[in-house]
Amino acid sequence: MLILFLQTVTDKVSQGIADIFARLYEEFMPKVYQYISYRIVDSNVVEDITSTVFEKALTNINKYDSDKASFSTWIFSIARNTLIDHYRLSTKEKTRQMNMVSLGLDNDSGCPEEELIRNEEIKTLKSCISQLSSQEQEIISLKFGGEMTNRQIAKILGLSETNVGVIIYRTVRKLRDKFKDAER
Amino acid sequence: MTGQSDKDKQFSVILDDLLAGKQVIPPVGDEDLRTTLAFALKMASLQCPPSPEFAAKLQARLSQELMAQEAGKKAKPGFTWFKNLLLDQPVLRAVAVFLVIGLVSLGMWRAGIFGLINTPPGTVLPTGTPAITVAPTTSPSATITPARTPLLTVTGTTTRPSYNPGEVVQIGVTLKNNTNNALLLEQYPPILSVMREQTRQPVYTFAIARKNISISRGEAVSYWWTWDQRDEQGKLVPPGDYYVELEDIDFTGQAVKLEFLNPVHVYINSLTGASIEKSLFLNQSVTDSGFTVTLQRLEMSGGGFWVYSSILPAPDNHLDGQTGLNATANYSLDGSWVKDTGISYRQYSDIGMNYVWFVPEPITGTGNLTFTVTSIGKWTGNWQFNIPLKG
Repeated sequence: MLILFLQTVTDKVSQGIADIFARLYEEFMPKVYQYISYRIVDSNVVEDITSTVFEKALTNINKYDSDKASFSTWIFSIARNTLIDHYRLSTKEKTRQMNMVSLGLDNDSGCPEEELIRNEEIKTLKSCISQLSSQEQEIISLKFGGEMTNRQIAKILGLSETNVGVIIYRTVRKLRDKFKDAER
Repeated sequence: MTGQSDKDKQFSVILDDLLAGKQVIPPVGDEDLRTTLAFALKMASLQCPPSPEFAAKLQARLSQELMAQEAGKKAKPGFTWFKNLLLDQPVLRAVAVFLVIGLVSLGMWRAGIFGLINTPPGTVLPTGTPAITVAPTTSPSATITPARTPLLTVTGTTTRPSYNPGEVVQIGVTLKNNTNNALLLEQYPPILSVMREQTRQPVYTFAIARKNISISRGEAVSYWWTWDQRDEQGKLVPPGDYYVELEDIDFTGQAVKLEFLNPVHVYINSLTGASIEKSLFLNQSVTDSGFTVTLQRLEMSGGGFWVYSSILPAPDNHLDGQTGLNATANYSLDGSWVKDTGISYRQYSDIGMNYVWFVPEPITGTGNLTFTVTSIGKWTGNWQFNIPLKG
């Protein structure tokens, strides 16, 4: 009887975990994906890394302690570490360079003109971002890709909130100028 | 330096407001700050969101892994399973500790130990006091007979635990070969039926082209079905609990039963609990402010009505899509008072947005419904539709 009771309880707990994970996935997967896409230009690799991040999160979901960190901080820490592992393992420099074939951007002449212009701008922006320092790329990715506040970014990177604000402002100015030069 | 530092702060505050979709008055007099903010907004608009296919497939795979994880914990026999359960669930651990303390205390009381402890020193016990014995506790043997491994492990999942009425449901099924040989499956994928829990009867059966396939030893194959929540007559099914069943699949001339490792349910949420009584297919389009709104159909019930639409193209600023891009609308029946619509929900597609409004007011009469979309995110317009209601 006790074992049956406990099995019923664990069934309900399992269903609860599944529901919670589904909701967290819906909220954070696009942000994690976009964060990684600021750092990696190959869309296939972006998908692979995003998958790895969530597989790791799933494996360790029972160890997540909300008292220690918010879920966004936790999942983005996993994302950062996974990216670092990827860079460490990747011996091919071309994964850092623009690979037009695998960008996943449609250059079909059948696309509306607006779509073509947008795709070109995305390529130019990613090219400019790749010229930034590692820290600048990281902060820009977390801000615009991960949609994080300066405070959250500061907590992840171990910087002060003020410092993060300064770096974002200066980096965006730098990107603005690079982008303008690239478009000429 | 102070001036520079103030500019950093001003930029951060304004940027956060802009990214949150708030209306911001651009700074006057500081061209550098203004152009930097404008570029930041441009950067935010050039994001590359994940494709819906990737998002759905990854979610399905993670759901399967989660189910397998949970099933793996339950399958471990006897003490190992129990030990893992206690390690994973601190509340259960605490309950188990109290139970153990309670059982031990009960045993001690039954054995009279508490009485002996309370005996004053120097008391002479009568001879023949029985030795203290504790009745051995025997736990029921929890033998779990391992099930015979089937030829195929069948797992299934949906992309979400529940769906709103009218939303597309994606159902994924994976068959894994547990044998040491390749398996030739005839007529793959298997026939899948969506069953209504209340009646245990099928509401829809997928009839798709099938072929023979071979699955290598240890290999798994997956297939996805897309269900639009309609039954065999094309009518939207009522909200409630549904599950899926597979027909037997032929393996080298023999029928192999396909049973899911865990049941696969599709829960359709109820907005009003009412079932659809009447549907009108509309296909009316209006273009304004660069957007084309197409009303696709009107579903009516005793609890209210639903208006299904598509909006093309997708609004460029998908930032709002993360927090809630609203398309507001109002309606009027037979020229009466104009009222705002109520609950609405949206779903992004590759090229646009599917939008559904629900109005908790039943439509009576057979005159005319005027439905007007008044804004799409920050864009205003007049997308007005006149819908004749036939009796």
